[in-house]
Amino acid sequence: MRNARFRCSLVLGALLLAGCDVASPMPPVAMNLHQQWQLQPGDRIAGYEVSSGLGDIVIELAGKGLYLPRDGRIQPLDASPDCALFSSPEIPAYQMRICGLKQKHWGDRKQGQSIGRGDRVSLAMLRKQVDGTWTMVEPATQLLEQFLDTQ
Amino acid sequence: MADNRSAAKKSVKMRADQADVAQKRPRSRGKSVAYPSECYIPQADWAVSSQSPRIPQIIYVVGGWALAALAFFGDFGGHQNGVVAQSFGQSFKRDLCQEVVQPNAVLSREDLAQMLTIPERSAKSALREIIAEPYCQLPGLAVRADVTAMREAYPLAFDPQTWLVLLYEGEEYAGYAFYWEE
Repeated sequence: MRNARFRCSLVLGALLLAGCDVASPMPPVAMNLHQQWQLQPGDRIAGYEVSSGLGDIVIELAGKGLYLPRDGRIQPLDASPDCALFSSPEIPAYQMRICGLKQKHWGDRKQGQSIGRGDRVSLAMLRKQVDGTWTMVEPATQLLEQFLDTQ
Repeated sequence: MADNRSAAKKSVKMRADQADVAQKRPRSRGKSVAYPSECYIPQADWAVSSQSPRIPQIIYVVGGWALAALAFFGDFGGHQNGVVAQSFGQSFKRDLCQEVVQPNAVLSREDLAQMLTIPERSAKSALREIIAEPYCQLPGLAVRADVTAMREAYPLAFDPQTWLVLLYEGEEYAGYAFYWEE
């Protein structure tokens, strides 16, 4: 009798829990990514929140500015008018695609100068392949910090 | 038609005259013109008593343009900004080299041509068979997560203000860039 009542309250409790807690009754799944990424959603770089980071790193810039980490060139991308491409003769074999900036300062610019401002920007580091195409790799957090700080 | 036009002109002139009266200001500032007493308006001290009344006005004009230029070019975020730089204006040896390796190193046309045949991702040793030690090494650079990039630079023998920058990751050659020095 006592046992039955206990079971009953357990079931009721479980039902109550299921009814109230809509957020996450499921246990989290551990997933083995082929490639390990340093940055995870929710991490912070130079005080800014990273809201996505498997490939494009999405940063909640909240209207603040993005700056050149090295002397280099900011030029438009043919395929994506919302984006800009950063390249620097000081960083061979790599380019950074930057999307989501509201106003962009095009051209050859010096380290620390403004690239533009935005609410939510995404940064994709591209590495040159042998055949001349570009593949996405994970940027170093240190480099991202330099994009966010004026130094 | 012609009458209409002259009438229109007249009305414009009249309007201009009326405007002068309404503003109660002289049209030609240089001449002294007698005004009816009702046209007199008190003016600022500098405008009536200064010997050269135009100078302060010029200051306002210049100041206005300066403010306009500041608003146009200035970045109020407090960062150096403004006119787009066409060149980086750096001395490669002074500003980019961290450590000189071989002070006499230069790259000939032949070496450069042969070096460019080596594909990215080749071993560093494959490049070093073609080109000798660099002029200098640049500071280590964090570009990709968990990898520190090493950079080496060579001035071109036939164009000494142009530098070839090579980037290595460990023993792997990642790519090259040309740096044009001012």
